[in-house]
Amino acid sequence: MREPDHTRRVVITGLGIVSPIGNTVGDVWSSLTEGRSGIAQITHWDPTPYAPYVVAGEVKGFDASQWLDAKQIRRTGPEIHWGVAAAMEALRHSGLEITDTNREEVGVVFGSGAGGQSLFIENQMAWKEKGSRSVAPTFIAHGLVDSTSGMIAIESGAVGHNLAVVSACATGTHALGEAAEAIKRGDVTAVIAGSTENPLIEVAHIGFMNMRGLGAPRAGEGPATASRPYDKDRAGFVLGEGSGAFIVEDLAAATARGATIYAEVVGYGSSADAHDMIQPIEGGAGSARSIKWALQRGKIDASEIDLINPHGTSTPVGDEREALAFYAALGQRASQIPVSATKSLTGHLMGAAGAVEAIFTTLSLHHQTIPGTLNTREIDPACNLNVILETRAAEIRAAVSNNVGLGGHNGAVVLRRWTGK
Amino acid sequence: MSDAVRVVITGAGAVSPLGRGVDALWSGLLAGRSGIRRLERLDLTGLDVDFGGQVPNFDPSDLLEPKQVKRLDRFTQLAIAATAEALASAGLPARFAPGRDAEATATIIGSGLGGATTIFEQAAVFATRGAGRISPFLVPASIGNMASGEVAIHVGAQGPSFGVVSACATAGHAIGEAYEMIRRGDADRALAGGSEAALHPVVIAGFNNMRALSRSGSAAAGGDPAAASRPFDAGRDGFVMAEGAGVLLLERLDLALARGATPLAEIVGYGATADAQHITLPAPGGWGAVRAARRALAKAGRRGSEIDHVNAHATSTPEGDKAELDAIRTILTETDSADAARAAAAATPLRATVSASKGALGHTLGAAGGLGAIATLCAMRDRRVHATLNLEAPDAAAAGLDIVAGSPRDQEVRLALVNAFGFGGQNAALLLSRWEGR
Repeated sequence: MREPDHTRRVVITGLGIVSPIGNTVGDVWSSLTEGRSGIAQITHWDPTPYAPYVVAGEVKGFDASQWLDAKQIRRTGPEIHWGVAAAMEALRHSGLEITDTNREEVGVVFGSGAGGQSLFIENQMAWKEKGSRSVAPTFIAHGLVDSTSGMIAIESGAVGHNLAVVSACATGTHALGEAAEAIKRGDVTAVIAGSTENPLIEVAHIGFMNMRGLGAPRAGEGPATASRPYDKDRAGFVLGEGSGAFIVEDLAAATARGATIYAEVVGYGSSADAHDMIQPIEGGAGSARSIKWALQRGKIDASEIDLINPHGTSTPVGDEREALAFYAALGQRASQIPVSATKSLTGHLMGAAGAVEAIFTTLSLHHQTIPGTLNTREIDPACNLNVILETRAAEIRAAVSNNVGLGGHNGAVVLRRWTGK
Repeated sequence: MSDAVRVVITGAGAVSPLGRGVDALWSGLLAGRSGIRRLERLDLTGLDVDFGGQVPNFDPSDLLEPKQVKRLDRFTQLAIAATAEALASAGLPARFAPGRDAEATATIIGSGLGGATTIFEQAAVFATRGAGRISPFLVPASIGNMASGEVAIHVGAQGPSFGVVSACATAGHAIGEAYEMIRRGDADRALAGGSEAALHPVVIAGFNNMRALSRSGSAAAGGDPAAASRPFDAGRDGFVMAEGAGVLLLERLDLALARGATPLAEIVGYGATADAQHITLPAPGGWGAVRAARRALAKAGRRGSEIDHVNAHATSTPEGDKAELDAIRTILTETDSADAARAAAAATPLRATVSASKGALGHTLGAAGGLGAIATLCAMRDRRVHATLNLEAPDAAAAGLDIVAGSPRDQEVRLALVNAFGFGGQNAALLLSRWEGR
């Protein structure tokens, strides 16, 4: 533990991901830049009774046994499998070794919107059908939203600061931001940060459907067309599943061990709408506040922002109000700043969205490339954003990754290109 | 920057099995009243447990419209009630007007299980009545961030907002993270704490089948529910599940003084660690807890031997209490192992007292650290520490520790440690210092 120093710089030195568009950083970057969608007809259960809401972004080709033993896999839900996999992969990617001498200086801040909801539902059914003795003794300990955070500590040996942050669909953003703060205040020198989500549970899908939140493919077109952020005819979000993880590290420590640095976490802002459980506030005022605060705290001028990875869920009201938030926070230049709305390819990973999208943003900065937004054909004039439709190289100095959660929680992080100083 | 920022507690709100309000909590703890009773309205068929700590007659109609009561999971309602009391006791309005005050107010309220009950109910609706009857509020009502989100809506707080979750350590971490948020300048004040309302048969069955719950109070065992939660007692046999909410109003010291508020206490340190050992069992010797307390002490620039009082996590489980006893002794004696601590405590009696509120409250899971912190504030204010209910024959592992039992004791509590530990091995330690006027 060290003294707080809020001028301490924090960088990203490792990434790990399990997602609808790939389970390695390399695959994910190819999918993003080549416009390969991860959205297809749901296979976890029969979605046809809920037509036209039958598509989602499922994780494909994932083998949990690479990361956990058979007993652990049996007792835990997919969100823990994905979270542990992403976290351990990020650790490997960073080259950071957790040893007896540094383990107290490594923390875990890993969230989830709903945690092991599937275990709760399975055990409720067991209770109902077979009686109370059939409820699994292990389900609560593995079903909490912080269970993944605890499991990552066990698997990695990191014994520093450890907790889960939850803010619905902004969870991953807040986890990354709070991880950076834990380093600045001196509690730890590195954090395994991120979030994980397993929302493709039939009853949750119906809940979202009855909330009138879900979108469907364009009439007569394939599943991939369902998520079309900022398009004039967008009609709702599409669920996705997976996890994203980072190794965030004190710049001095990262440099000392010769780590590859992918981006710097320069600013973080969190705010509440204090308005409504479901709808964002008029004018995107809450989101505007968190973006402004992220810029202020990072001492970075809005004119340096060359890329926005928006929340952009493809809902009519959400996208429009978020666009207004960009104008309120970034000024008229918001009409020019490239927007890469990656939920068009992945769907909405709920609590994991902020993490995987900050990974996409990090990779965009690292490769100086803006991934195109799929499916969007005619940008809604009410949004009036520079939504990039074709992947292209560009100079990106700094980027905002923005997310908004049910309950009115807003989170924004500002990442800066790492140029070696 | 904000290194010199001091953070004080100026308001507190509690909803617990002892009733609604801090007074109900504190007077019940002092009087040795138990909040544990038989659970009459739950189907607990086939379980070894038929008792728990319900909030009696909770009626939020003074704060919420009937429509809101219908939509919001109980954990969110309990959090709103605790928040209202915290604001009132801090001398603040029930709602912040838009502007600087609203934007500088953070909401960091966690929950261990969130809206688990809503999920169970809706899963049952799906199974019996079909998809069309699933509530559109299923997801928003059940997610664990909603106590923070709805409290923000209810009081108009527009500053940083999210939930912190670390199982049974949730409120400890939430208060600690809010303290850090004010220290670094992201907020001027924060509503922080935890809330829990998961007394549902499936949750009770899960803990029951894990053999984590006390069975000694069951009717089938001929037991008395009020005697079942016995932290540190040799005859303890598990925890008693309960519900509640504990929310604090934290504030930057200079701003609190400028508006004429009287701080209840100053938060001088916060430490968080992971055991990284086992998903349910504590680390041997309570080592994760020792490290958390030492981090809090280091932030405060204080020593373990200066601690006057410990509000223990002490859930009344055989293993957990034993590890915490080792941890507390190690912290207070400033030694480096449980054995060394035992030897040191045998040689020189320890000055600090220890109280375990769960003897009366049961285990309110994610709210526990908040209620424990509130009991500690009351002890500082009244110069009186409460007894650990049902502690009759202390465990041999308590040797050398002064655990308050039987009746409350007069004591000057200047520096206190509040412990909160969770499944998954998450530990939080809060260090509170009595407000001495400067």
